[in-house]
Amino acid sequence: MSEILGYILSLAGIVLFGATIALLLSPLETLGWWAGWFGEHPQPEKPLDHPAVLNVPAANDEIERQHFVVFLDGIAKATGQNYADVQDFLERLARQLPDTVVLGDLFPYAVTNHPLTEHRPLSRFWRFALDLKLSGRPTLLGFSINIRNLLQVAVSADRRYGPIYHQGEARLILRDLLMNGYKSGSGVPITLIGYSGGGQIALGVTPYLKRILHAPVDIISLGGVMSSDRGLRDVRHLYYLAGSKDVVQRLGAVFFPGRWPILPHSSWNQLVRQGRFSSIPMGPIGHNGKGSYVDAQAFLADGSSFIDHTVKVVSDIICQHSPHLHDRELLYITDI
Amino acid sequence: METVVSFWQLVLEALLLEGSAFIDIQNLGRGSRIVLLIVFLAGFSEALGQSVVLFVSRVKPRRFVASLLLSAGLYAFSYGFWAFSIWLLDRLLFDSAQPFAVVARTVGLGYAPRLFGFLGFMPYFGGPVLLVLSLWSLLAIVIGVSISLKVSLWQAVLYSALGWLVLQISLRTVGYPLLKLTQLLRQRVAGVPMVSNKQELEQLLELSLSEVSNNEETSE
Repeated sequence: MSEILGYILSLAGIVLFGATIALLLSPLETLGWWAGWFGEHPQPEKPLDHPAVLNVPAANDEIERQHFVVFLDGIAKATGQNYADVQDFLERLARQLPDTVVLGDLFPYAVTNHPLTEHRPLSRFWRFALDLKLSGRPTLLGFSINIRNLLQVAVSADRRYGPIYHQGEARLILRDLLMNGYKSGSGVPITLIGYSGGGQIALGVTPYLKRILHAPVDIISLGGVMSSDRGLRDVRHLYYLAGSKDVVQRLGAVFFPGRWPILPHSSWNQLVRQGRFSSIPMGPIGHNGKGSYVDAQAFLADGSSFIDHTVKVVSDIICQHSPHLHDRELLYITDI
Repeated sequence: METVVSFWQLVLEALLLEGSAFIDIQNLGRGSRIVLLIVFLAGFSEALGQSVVLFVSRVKPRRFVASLLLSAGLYAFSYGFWAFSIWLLDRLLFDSAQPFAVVARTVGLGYAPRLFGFLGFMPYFGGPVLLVLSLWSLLAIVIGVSISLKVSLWQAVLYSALGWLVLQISLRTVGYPLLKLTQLLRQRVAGVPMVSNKQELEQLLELSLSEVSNNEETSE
């Protein structure tokens, strides 16, 4: 018995040691980038017809786009390429909103936008981990991508490192928006869709986008794990989409004290009090994998697939903020 | 070798808040050296934990290390002042005849928990960890002062608090030029203007982002 206990304690010690080392190293990429320690990083060139950049007007297109959507994926993402289900979601959304530019080509967990699988000391390891992930087998190695990105969410939520991380991410989003036809000062609304940890990143970049582009910024959280970030003060409205089987999205309310009701003056509680927060129950949807918000093979009682339901809710919210787009009945949204 | 063993043994005992460590350090031949090493390493470790300010100010790697070493040196200096304040209070208020070295060794050993100050670098958990380490260190100092100066725990709390107060007041009055000098020294070693507050950082970040925006729009 004592042998087993000793084994468990040793294992816990190794895990704790590993977690501490990983945590200590996690801010280095952002801080080193800002300090210029790694030299000038050229932006990775993206193909003009990147599959996750949708509805971009052609050069001779006279029609002004009515809305811009930036999708910030969850912590499973390893490169600028999306997993098949997320790509499917973006394409369905783009079809639903033909006058809205949909940008889903960013890797939100590196201020350099460099994918994990290229130009990094551990890129071979990440390629191997990604292959395992794509094979569909749940392995610890495959999950290491999630852990690595989760630590970047911690960097984003840190009051010391957050501003630098968010500035780096805002820089990428800004570049993406301007390259794809956004006109600074035009007032065209921007909606950031943050899936899981992407929700936290969305909060952080909002003040920069709002101030530099003079644009209203809304956030749609898709099972987002979000802190009471100061960026909430600049969010026009936060739509919080949560499935009843999504346990992960509840973690934010537990681990970030600013979301506890005992701190009424926190940014989060002020947002709720000012009526800029809407919670939207999504039905029996889970966080990721099978039965997630972007699952095309799981269905609600009314027969619609989870992915279509999510597309409908998201597009309705976007239409609400772009009345020119579509004149249609909007979903009932519960304000809390 | 003996020093190495003594060092780790004493550190471990101090971390466990064992009173015997504060008695042993007084009887050890190289006690003062060990204490100075603890304080210097604690200073270096804590400076590393709070090095975000160096990154934000874009200090280059070599100067970054030099800045950490300078911080550790200044840290040891402030420790000396604190120990001196406690010793002086003991002497003036309670007419004690304890030599300065006794107080200096006690306070220095109490810095042992701060050896883990580098953990302050961790995102999100770093702040709370630093707070816990400070309280842990304070507790060690109070226990140590109580044992070394043979006073009650409450008297030891009073000594430590008053000693800290005297240090802070001195820094802001007679020690002000010294404080300015250290700031100048830090700046000189860093080799770049240091970002000293949140507002400055925000301005710097937004300015840098505006440049990106302008560049992109011009290139279109």
